[in-house]
Amino acid sequence: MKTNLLSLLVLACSLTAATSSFAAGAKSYKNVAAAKAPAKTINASEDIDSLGGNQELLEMAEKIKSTSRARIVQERIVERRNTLEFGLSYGSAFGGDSYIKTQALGAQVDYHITPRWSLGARYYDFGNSLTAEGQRIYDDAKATYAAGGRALSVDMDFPLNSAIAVVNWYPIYGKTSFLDMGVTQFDLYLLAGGGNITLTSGNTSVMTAGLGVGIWASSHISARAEVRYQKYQDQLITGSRNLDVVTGSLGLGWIL
Amino acid sequence: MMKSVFSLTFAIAITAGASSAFAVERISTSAWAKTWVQAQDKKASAFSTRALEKKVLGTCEDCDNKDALKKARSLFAEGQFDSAIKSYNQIPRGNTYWLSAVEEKGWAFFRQEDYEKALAQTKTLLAPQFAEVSSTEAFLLQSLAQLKICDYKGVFETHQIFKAKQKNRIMSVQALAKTGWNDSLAQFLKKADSFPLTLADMGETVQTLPLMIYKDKEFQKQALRFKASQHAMALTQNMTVKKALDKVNSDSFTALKNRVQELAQAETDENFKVIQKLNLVEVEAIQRVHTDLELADSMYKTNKFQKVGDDKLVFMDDGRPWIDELDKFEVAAKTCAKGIRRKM
Repeated sequence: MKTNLLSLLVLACSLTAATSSFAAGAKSYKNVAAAKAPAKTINASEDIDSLGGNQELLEMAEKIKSTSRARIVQERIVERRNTLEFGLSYGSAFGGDSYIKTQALGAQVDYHITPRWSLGARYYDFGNSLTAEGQRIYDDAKATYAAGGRALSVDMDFPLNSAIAVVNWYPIYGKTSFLDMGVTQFDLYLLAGGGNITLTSGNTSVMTAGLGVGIWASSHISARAEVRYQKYQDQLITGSRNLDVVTGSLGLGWIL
Repeated sequence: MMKSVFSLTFAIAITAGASSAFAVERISTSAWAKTWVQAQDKKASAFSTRALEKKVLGTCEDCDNKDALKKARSLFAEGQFDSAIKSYNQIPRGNTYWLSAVEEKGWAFFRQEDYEKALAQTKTLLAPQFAEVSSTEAFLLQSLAQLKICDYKGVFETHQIFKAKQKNRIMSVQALAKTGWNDSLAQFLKKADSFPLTLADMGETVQTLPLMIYKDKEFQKQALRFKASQHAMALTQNMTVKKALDKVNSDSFTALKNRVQELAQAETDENFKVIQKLNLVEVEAIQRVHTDLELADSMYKTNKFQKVGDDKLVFMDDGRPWIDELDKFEVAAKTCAKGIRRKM
């Protein structure tokens, strides 16, 4: 090792002069036609294979504190500063009244203040139908009544529509390559807000919180998948009742 | 191997894709030969591809970018590195001259002693997509910049990558300088039909042929003559014409081989110089490893990444950049210990 070092030191002396011309010399080959140097033969095993081949030195070099880190800095596909996004969505509610199956057709507008924050307004029109359990209870009540029995009231309070305002926070971003068709950027976001929901019994307030993913397919087209928790009170004959409903929706948007 | 082929295809795809915007009309030699043979049947004339050569090779192709590169080189030579960098930046990503522009921009940053920005350029050049088709100088630039910031581990790693990615190519080009012929050239000539040539025409053969050979006018001229005469020979029944075509074909083949030899020799000479310099850098790195080994952490200067706003996306480099990440690198270095006298 010591012998090796001495010979290396001798070689290193020649480096001082040689390296000063590196950068300038580096560009000198551009004119291929002008290259008239005599033919050189590279001994691959000695000249190339010896490069970076000393594992012991590599381990020593790892102990040196100098190092470099690299990162990639990219522009967002969509400029989301003072930008409006309009969208339509379709979703379904889970939980809540076990007798009712609810679908929601939504329209929304989001004002992106910065890429991290946006304010949104959403309107949902609900379509309701009975679940299998709801249908069974209803049919039983009807059959009992038809048989001359006492009619049982099937007490339900359907959601008709709702309008809410939300704040969206986009803390996580990423990108994905879909079927090698290109790279698509996305943001995961959290949202919270509240508003009004119209039930068959009348209006009541609704609170919501959720999370979603906003996919920026191009500078003008977006797609959103969202899951929200909603809390509101419906009115039954027996009194009011707290409902915890989860809604999932998929939507497409147009960014101005 | 699969990854390597994929990477190369990937590189060709992005360069071919972006170059299409600057494409000039390409002419098929087989179609041209067919027309010539049909005309020959009606009225005999000597075989000449001069008009065709003038049409496909005589026009300035991708002039704006060529001019931008020329201007940048001129500014670089005058030491106006900021202006040179601006000119290099005008060449769009994926253009034929883009890799050269990125490399030379790296040298401009190096000359400005901005080694972090120089390394940011080599991150692109040595990315898996390009490492086999980048020039050997890109490796020298990275190695030297790493030496300048005392990243010796990086120097050794760069040399290992150089060995893994460039050795085959260097040896193939060196052999080509002697013979003027190899399997890749045969493969290319078999497939080539339309001119002017593009990187996509070269396919995987770029790995074992001189860099940018497809842009060389003389190479293209001789390849065009060879292909046109070959197609015409296959179509004509006239033995006298066939004999004349055979001579043209033979002459162009010899000229083609000679040109390939010249280009391969020029690249081999350059490779030889680069390998010598890489060895010198390694020697210096080895020496410094021993001197710097015991230095305290407090002696080093740690640079931080510039803070970026919410409008930008930041991803840490994992060594496998995506296609949209190339030339988007930033490097922050923990540089050489202070107070150590260096010879270079």
